Amino acid sequence: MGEELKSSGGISRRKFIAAGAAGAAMLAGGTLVLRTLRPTAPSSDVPGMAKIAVPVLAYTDWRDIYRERWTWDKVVRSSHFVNCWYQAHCAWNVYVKDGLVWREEQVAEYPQTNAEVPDPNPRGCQKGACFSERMYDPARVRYPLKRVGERGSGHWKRVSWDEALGDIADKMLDTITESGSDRIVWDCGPLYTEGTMTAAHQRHITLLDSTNLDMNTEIGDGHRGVAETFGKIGFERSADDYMYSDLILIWGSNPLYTQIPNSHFLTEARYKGARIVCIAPDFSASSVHSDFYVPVEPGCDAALALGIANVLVDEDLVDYDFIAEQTDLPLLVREDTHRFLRGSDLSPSGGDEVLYFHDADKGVVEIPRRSLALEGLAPSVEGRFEVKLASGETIAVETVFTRLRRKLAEYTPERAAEMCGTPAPTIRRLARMIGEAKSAAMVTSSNMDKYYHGNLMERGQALVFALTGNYGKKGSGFVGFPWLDHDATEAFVRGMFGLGDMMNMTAAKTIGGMLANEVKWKAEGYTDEMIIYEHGRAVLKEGRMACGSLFWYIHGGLLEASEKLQEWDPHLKRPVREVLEESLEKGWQEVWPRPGDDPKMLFVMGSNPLRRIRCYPLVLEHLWPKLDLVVTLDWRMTSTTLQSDYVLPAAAWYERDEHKWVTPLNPFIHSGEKATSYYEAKSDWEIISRLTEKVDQRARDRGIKSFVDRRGDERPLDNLYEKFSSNGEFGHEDDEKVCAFLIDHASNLGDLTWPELKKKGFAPFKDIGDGMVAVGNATDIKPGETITPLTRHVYDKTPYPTLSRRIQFYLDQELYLEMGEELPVHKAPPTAGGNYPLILTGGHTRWSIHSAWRDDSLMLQQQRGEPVVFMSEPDAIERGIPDGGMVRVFNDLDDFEIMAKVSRSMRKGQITIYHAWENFQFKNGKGFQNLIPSPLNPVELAGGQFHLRPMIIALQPGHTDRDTRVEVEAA
Amino acid sequence: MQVDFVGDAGIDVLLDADHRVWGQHPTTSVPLLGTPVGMQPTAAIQVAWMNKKIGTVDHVDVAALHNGREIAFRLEWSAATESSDVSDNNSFPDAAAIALPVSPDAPIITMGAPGQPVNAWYWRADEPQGARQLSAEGLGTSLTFDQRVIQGRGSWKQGRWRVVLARALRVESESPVAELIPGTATGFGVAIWDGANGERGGIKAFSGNWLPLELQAASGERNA
Amino acid sequence: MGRQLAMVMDLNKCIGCQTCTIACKRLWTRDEGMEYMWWNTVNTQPGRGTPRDWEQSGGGFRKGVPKPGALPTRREFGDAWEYNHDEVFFGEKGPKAHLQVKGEKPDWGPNWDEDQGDGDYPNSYYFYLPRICNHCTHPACLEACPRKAIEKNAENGIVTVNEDRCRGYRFCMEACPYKKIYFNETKKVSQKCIFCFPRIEQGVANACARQCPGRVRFVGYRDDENAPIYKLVEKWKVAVPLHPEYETEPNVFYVPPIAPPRYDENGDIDESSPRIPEEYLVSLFGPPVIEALATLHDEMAKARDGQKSELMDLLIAYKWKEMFGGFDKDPATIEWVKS
Repeated sequence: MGEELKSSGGISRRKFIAAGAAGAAMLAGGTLVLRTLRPTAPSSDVPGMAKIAVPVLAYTDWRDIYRERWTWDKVVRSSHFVNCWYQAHCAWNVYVKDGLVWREEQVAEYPQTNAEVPDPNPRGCQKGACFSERMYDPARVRYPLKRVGERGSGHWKRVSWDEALGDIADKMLDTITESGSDRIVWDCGPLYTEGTMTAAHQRHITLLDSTNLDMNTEIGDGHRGVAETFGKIGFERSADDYMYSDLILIWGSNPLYTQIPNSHFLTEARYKGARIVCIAPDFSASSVHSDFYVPVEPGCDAALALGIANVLVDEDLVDYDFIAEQTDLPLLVREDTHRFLRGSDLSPSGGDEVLYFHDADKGVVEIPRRSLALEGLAPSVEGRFEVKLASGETIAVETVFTRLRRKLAEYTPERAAEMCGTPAPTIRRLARMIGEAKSAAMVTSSNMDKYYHGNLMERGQALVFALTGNYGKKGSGFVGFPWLDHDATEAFVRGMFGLGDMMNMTAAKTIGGMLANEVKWKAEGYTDEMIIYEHGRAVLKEGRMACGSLFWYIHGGLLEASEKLQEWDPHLKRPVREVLEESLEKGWQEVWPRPGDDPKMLFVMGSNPLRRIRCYPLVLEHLWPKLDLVVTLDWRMTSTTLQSDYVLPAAAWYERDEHKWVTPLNPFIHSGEKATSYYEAKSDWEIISRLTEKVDQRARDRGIKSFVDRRGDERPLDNLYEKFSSNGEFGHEDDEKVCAFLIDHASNLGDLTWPELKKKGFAPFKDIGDGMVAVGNATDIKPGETITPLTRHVYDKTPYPTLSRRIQFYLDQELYLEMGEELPVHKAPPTAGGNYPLILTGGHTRWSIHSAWRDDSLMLQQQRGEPVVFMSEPDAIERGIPDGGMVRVFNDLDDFEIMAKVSRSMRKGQITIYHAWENFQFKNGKGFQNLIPSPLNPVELAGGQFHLRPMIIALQPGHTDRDTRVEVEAA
Repeated sequence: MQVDFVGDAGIDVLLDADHRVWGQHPTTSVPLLGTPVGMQPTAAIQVAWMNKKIGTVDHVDVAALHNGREIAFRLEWSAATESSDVSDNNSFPDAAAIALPVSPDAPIITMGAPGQPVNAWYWRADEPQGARQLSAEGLGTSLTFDQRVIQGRGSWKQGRWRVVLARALRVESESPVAELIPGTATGFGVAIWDGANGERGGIKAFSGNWLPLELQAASGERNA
Repeated sequence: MGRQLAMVMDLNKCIGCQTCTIACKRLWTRDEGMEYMWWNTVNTQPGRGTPRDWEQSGGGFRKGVPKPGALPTRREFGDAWEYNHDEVFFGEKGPKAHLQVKGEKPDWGPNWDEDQGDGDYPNSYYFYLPRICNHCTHPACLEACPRKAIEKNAENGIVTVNEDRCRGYRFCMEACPYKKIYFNETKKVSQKCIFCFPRIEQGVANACARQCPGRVRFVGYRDDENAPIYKLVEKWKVAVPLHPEYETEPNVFYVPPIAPPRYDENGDIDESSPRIPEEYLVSLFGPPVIEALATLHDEMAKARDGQKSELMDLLIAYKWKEMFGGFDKDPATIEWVKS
């Protein structure tokens, strides 16, 4: 039995090739018969079409072996449908030979945006360049697998698709009828495409009212500080926009690891005259090609930012026009309550969201809310004023900037240096460079959000760029969360609902409610962007997106690891559990299923939660026993498939028709054409389609006609598959039709058609579209121009989606006031995990996209063959640890073993384990995440206020890992 | 050296180095010497071997028999270690070869000369059940033209290699092949490579000038 | 003399991603006997490199006389590691089995000392050094081979091992001072970078160059005065060979790395103090590296002042295809036809 499941049981690619070569060599008694080479077409946009038959060449000498190797049968275009995010995506030619994918090479046909910037070619990275190897390696799943031993025992039975789907469908019906539809929970991860996979999944969960986790803040990509400041997180530039920068700060990022195809724009911008400054705790790979390396202690970047801001303000390097128009710095704050002066303060009928600044001529005036344009007003950036309240009382107010200046006095370069370890002269030098730059840009990744106080760090960074007016200009700006996608998924989901059936009642309620709201919001001056976010918030309410982090904290038992938080974080005033209860009670945050309603089924699609989740042993301990069934769809074996009840083999990326979301950094939608098939693997569309049909069938067989959804509405089950497939229009294997629907219905791809996209492999976005994240880019994509985000705010004066309608540095929500975080401040990192001398940080690796290549033999060969922890030489010597020696890492939570990699690039006191080693790569399966308590930061439980309410992918609590304290000893 | 005729010994007997037939005929001890460093074909090899011992095997015991159809040489020498694989970049196999002149004047020291080829039978410890036939017309020119005609068997026991190399007396080939005719005399040479000493190519122990090789006439063949 | 193909690698653009390494691996060295071979490698410098301590392994020439060299072992190259995936996933052992290299635990690999570098934090330093066969004008491997099994192509200067002639003696491996020759124990021949000659024959740039996302590598004939190689090597003299003292006259050239300056004792940046010691760069690239660095610094300063610099424009490579000296055909436009 076991043999059959192993990929070594059949013909491996290597054996196949060896056999092929031997076979060829045997022909004609040692005469090697070769294919002839025949170049048929000149360089062009399209792979050569003409075929000209020419005679077969006989083997003449050793050279022909190599010539023969570089031949192929066909070429199709594809990409790697994994979230490599900042570097997504690259168009590849997939070379097929003898029915297998032989290798891949970049398409390299991206256009040059204009003559002032280099073209992006060829893009690609080492991981993409060996996917043809990875897809045939021993991690591949060939058949549906059913667990037959204990969970995690690795004891499997091959079952048919029919048996697997039948059993799963029955369990789903049991759950829906006995416990509730919200108890079926989906965790979709980095393989989520926004293409056919997403289309299938969104239809399925919408029909069955399942809970789908929004895991963005959980993974630490929530950019909370960006969201707090801008009311959104989704904005980023195109990578070629860096060519217009004269100063580039790599700050909170390691693009040489994590943006491999984009990196050349940085090295080339340097050649064009930009100064590159790399700010990082270690002399990172990205420091190598910088002009200045700036050391900073991990988790202390807020102090550095505020030190810089201190110098900017102190030396008058401030762009006052910018901050007066674009930020809340001129807004008035009450001295007594520390809250913004509000309309409700001044009049019984005044609005709670009406805010004020002081105009030299007109005195205290309401800020314009429908536009950022000042229309002749001249807000006082600084000052203290008296205001008479509706109550008759006179109180003092002062501008945010005045409060900020006072706060910044605590961050002189010398004092900041003590907090963050960056030398004071360097802080001054850096501040002056930023202050004097024509166009300063930021390269960041989603690093800061993985710190407990990451929001403060990001707020500080955003402030530095705001004070100097570095937004909107070509080559300028702090950035958020890069995202660019087609906006047709909602149309596909709604497209299920015809008129007049029961199912439509639910849809009608939702859609009808949305339309009514839109009218109201427009009347209140909401921008289109704000309205899109409000629709996103409605999806969160539905549970179609549900807070992932709170799911794991509450249902997964992770909160247990935050019990000691008051010992670790001196700023904490009360137990975080108490704040959580308050937050849920007040509706600031929500969790599905509700506390006390145990989840019953977990579907994992293109995701690997047991590798991903910090302190995952708690999840195995608390959540797993509650789950009747864990089903994982993946093309490979993972830490999560090993703990699953069913593993369903998904098609790998070259084995499906698909397209995928990207980011403005490389603003082209990417696609893939199915090149080959593999055993019983199926596309995710097909798997979900067949599963939906099976649920429909089993419901009929069992006489279950309907179920009651989480809102108490009754929903039919007998037309489930009809709805899912749009009455058969989108069948099990109609991936291409789904692709075509999505491309045709996207508002931001121009006249593009699926056949054109499939043939070319990529196509430019014409606009940011109306997607719930991409709309945040707030810019126009113009032919011949690089993309600079936020121009709609900076130049078109469209308000930001914040309470103040401006870039907002002052937050007066209760929890911020309670925590003393109304303005950006620095707080020392908590000692998460106990009082140990070393801080364990992480970062995305050069060697894998999440865990997809972590156990790949070729990638491991280019590392140490197993997980490593980077540590400084002084720390290693102190502990008697040699380079390459095994060490035990431990704290209050647990321990694990790992190989030490002693590096001169590391600072003393910090150790680093790069992202995404699988638990099964550690002795006894104890992965490094087991030491990471991920304490819940109470301020992240805030809500209620306009822009602090949870939204899709942001402003939900997050998980963090970078503040973990540990000790290391030789193992 | 006399190559006795053993008409009733089949090829399997001849290939069996331990067969008693070998004990019934004389063995010649052939002294070997290392190839002179100055004769190595490239400067790099000369420099590398300038101060190193070349040819650690100082003699080889040779016997030869023929049965009228095939001829076999049995080589036996001491080797403290068995170097029989190439499992690493710095490991070389023990090896042995018989050289035969194709044209009578072919110089053995240089493995032939242009127009004066030498024919060699080459056995290597990493492929102990086989051998190759080569021809050479000077140093570094050897070409393997055949991997089937020569039969080879070798085994290492208690510090000694016993290797048999055999071939049909007459072979047809477009490549230069030494003719071996019972009842006539020719010359031969022997070379042994000590893999543990890094010996390969021209780095070897060899028997110097051609040694005489007299093939006893086969009974029934009087025309020699 | 025929023409000579060459490569220039810009170390200010190399990000150590190893896409070149993998591109080469997937194209040429995946067969049996080739698993441990990495014809293209990228190492962190300073470091021991691959094979381990290759710079102390001898070979090449000194004053025209060959210098004896070592034969690096497979473990020194890093060997090819095999894993127990099947045991972990399907072996019914649960967490008792974890993913490991089968057999002896490795103590070296082709990129073992990645990102370790030298210097004392925060004045740490390192950079990436990609290497292929240098296709030398005076190839030590060719001259060492007693069998004339190494050939230098008369038309393009590509140095190859004639696998029909090679007997696996490995004198070439000893002689190559860059340790860029591998021994195939299955085929029992030496093998090395072939400069992608089957691609070059069709007008397609080498896989390592064409697949390089860092846009590090220029390809072309050395004497093509209109192409980047000539301009970088001969005109601007900013591209210099690695270890010229090995006297093999490499045809791969490097634009030397410019790192951020050092910190002084007061914690201020000392712009006059280079982070990578000059003597270290001289030890790698010889004295001409000093002038190359000076030229680069001058031209970068010009660019910062907003002035036009031909050199900077060349290195930026606004049009990617122009990096390849005419070898810019898209390989996917080729159709191989079996009759």
